[in-house]
Amino acid sequence: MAIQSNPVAPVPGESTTLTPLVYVPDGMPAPTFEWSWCPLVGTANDGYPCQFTEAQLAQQLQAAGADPSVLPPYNLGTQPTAVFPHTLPPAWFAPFCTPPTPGGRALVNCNLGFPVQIRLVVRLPDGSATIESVRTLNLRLESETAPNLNPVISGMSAIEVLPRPPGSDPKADAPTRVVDTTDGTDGTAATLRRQRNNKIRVAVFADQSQPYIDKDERGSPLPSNERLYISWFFETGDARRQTSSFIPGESNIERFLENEWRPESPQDYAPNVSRVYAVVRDNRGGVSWRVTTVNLRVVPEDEE
Amino acid sequence: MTFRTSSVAVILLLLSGSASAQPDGAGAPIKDDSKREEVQATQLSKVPKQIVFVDAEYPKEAFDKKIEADVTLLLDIDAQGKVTQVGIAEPSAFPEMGFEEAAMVAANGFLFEPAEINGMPVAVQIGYRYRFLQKVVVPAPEPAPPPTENGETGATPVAPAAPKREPVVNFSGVLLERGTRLKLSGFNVTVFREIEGKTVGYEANSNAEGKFEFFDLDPGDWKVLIEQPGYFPFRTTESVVVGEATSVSYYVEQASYNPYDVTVTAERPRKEVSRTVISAKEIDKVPGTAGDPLAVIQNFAGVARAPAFSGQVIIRGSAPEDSKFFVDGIEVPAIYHFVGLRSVLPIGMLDGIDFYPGNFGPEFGRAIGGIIDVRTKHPKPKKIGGYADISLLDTGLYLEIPVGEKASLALAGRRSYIDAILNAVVPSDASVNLIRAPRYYDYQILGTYRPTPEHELRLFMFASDDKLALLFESPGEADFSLTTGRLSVSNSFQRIILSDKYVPGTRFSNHIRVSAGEDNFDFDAGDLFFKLHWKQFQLRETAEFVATDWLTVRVGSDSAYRTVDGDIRLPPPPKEGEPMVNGPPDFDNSFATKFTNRAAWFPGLFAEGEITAAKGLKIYPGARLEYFSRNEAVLFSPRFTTRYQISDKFLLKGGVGLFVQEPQPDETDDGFGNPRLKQEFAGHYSIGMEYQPRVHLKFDTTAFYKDLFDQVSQTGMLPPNIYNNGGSGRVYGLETVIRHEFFNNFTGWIAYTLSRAERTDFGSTERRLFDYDQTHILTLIASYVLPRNWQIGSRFRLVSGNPITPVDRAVYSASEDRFQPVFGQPNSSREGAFHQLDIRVDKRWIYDAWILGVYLDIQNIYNRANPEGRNYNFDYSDFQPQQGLPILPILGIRGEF
Repeated sequence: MAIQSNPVAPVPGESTTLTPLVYVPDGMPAPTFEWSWCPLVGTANDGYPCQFTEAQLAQQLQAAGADPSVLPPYNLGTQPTAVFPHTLPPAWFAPFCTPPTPGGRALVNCNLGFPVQIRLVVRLPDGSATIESVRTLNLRLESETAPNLNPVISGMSAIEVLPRPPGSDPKADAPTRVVDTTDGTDGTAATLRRQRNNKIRVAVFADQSQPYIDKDERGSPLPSNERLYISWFFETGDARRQTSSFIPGESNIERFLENEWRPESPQDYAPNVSRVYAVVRDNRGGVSWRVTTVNLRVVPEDEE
Repeated sequence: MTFRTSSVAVILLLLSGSASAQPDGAGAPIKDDSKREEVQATQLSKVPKQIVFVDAEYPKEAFDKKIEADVTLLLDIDAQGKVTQVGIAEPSAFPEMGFEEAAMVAANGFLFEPAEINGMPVAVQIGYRYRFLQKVVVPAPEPAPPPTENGETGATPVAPAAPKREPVVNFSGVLLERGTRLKLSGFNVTVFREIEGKTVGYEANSNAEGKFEFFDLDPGDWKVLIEQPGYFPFRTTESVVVGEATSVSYYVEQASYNPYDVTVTAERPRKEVSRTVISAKEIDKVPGTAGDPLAVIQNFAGVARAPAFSGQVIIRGSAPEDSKFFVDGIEVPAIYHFVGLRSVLPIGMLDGIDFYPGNFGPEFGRAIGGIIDVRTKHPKPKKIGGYADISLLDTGLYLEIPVGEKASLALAGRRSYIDAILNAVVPSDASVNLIRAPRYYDYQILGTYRPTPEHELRLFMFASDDKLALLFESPGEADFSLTTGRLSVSNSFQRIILSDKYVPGTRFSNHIRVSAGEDNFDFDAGDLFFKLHWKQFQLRETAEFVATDWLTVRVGSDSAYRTVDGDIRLPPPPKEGEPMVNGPPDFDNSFATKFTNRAAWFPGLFAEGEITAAKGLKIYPGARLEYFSRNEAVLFSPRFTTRYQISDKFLLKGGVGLFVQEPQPDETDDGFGNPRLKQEFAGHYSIGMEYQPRVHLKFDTTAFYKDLFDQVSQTGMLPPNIYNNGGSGRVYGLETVIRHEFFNNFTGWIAYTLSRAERTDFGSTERRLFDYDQTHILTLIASYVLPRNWQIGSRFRLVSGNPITPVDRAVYSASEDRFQPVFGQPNSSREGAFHQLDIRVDKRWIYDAWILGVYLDIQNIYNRANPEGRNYNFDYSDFQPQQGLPILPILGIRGEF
């Protein structure tokens, strides 16, 4: 569902830790992981094939006067997390980032750094599922620019609609309470209604949209603020939005933070609990997430 | 009770029939004021239409013996429509009875609207069948009011004897066609009544103004009867009072207001191997078009079925952008409003459509696919008239205004109201709000002026404007690269065309057209935008010389000049052969370019000969010389077609030619594409035959082969090497059309195309299928005219499914939180077949001063779920077919006045 790098974009000599967010349904065995990377890849239509073998890349490094031994192996291991060391010499990738002619177009857009691809193949041991996942890791060209930070979800809450007290006016609004579902495992998990719309909200502060200097298509500096996106995932039911976005100056942050979720009936989803995932991304490769568990209940007819 | 000469049948179709019997095999004798010349009957743009008919005196002996007969006359009709000479083409079966003499005497009094070539009146000779039938019409007249002294009125009492005193008009009137208010001339008006057990009656004919008069009718009630072929009998009773003159207006109703019986026009000359000509009157009632005139193009042979709401026209395996649209020979960027909902020109402005699927003449260029030339009408209104057309999509108005004797003006406009409907039904909290729902409008102004019979000046202004603006609540759902939730698209163009057609005689003509206009396209989604503004100029000049009996030469210029301003930041547009699935393109891979006043010249010269090499054998060698200023290329395109009329019914035809076009603007842009690209070429080859066993029935079969070379192809590299001319392709197939012109109340056609279209991309040696390769395309159209102004029509289409590129697997892009499909071999699979039945019912109600027409066009009447693509699930592991249009009833109302 996501691959986080921390730091988001390493500077030369820095290593970044790669952490995946993988959804595995209850009862399934733990998956296996295969990490790799590639400096230049082909098109999405072809499945992002790597354009150079390790040997070819080593030769290029040598030709550029760099020590090929600094090259991280393409294979980054099989652990749940991986570490990628930014040891590529800028002298090697500078030609890719430089337009061949003034005003021309460089082979690679290096506005956010030199992009390499991280690839993760996640498999269930029984072979019943395999997911091939890729993300772009920007290798910063120099350390002077301010680092990008992964955006943070500070909290998650749900609005519970409570049963009416006996004898209360049936026409009055049902009582509600906001439950902080930040953790969901400490006994304070919210209990939400099945087959009804439930409001879910995350807390993402506006300063998570970092200011930065982008470049326009002609390479001129362009002061910008990060765009933020939240991907929502629920184990059951339908959500009003799969993705919500916050574009500074364009969209409403309140709508960005909220969603409505309608869990299925027990016949369609038997467990009485459901995990809720919110993944926040910025447009520069930053990502983090929050996961919580909520209880589900059937709304009795007399509660209508 | 007596018998009189019968009604007659004007056999205008004999024009072509008699023409075919001429010595040259296909010529009809046409004469000008000085000398008689043989010219093609099919060169007539209008055949003579009778406006005054004179009853022949029934030969007495034949009358007594109740003998009926037909006499076929040869009438020489001058440029004013008068009969100057009458001959016998085919005598009756009873030559001794005097039918021939009687018919010849009567025919000398006929009057016609003259025939025309390219709008200019000409003298012609036609065949005319005069039929003598015995039929009870009116009682025999006893008293006989005199003929009028005013010969100008044309009112001619037939039977009454001469008066004994100065006649006085005491009953007069005017005849108008019910619904259209056209003045009816040459109609016979009868008044009669019973006097002392005997029937007394009189007759008069209406003159060119539709007026009739009776003299000295006795006071009292008179029954009035108007009978005319093609019209319902009109009966009423009028009272004549002593000392008063009775004046009336009668509205006489046509027996049928179907679109085919209003005017008979001659077939336009043919020189191409394949050209489909369809008139506006036929177009108007074709089922499945929802009343839209240019939607009929989709039913022609050689035209692939375009995806629903694409607005594309795919001709003989060519990409949509390889074919060109023209209005009166002037190029326009589109003929449809966006998503193909409606044509940019209304039916009222159209004369017809010429469709050339390939091997078109040298007068057309800068295209390697097909040509669609929309001809606008030559309005000659006799009164102010028009229509209002209301449908679920839009409302249009059309108005024709006569301006003196030599000029006319036509105005039209249309606006959609889809925006109002959608805004009313889309909830305010929807994830997508329609700031400006799909909205289109267009207008047209057409002025004509004929200062002399030789010149026809025309001014045609028209414009089209489409807009759409959306506000996404969460643009991130569409794509992470979107920096705004606001998305707007607008597309507009306008043209002004000035033309002068000069036809001083039958040996020379000159037609010059000059146009100027602007095209705008504006897509705006924040950081992603595509803004183009063109200024377009075009000059088309065509001169035709009839050099000798066997040689006609056409030469001319077709030159264009355009400047364009652009500001673009978008990914490269998807190209033919690239897989398309649901989901946005990769906006991160955007290119940018900005330019102003980028000019391009396309001067072109063309020449074509028309050689009658032998009896029935026509050869059309031609060529086109063009200059492309972008790369300073001078290109020569030879073309050749031939038609050989073996007999009255059989014709062989063939053609070969070279065609060239400029790559698409993005492909040669120095930011998006490769400025060093050369032009794209195609060789067209076709051979076919036509068989016409009946005047109204024609079989037309053409086999074709198209060789595409120097095609722009993607290289997989970045600009400026992103494209080269390394692509190629071929298209071959067979088209068959069986067309039944309107006859016995029926019209329709069957069009079947069997074809295969392939491409070879740069770097590949294997051919792949073209995106819209459709092996079988079958279209059946049928319309039947029923009594009382009902008409029913149907269209059935059966088409092979489009090729598709299968998705092999998908890779999850964690950066964008979406799966990216990984595709298999391009176009290596195929969707299911498409079939659809459409039904259309028309009904017209005729009122005195206007006509109300209502149509119900039900598309996909059996609600076939036709596949239009695939909707994949989030990880591309499964899909549902995208369903095309469900059953769609469209109701339209048109009021004509």
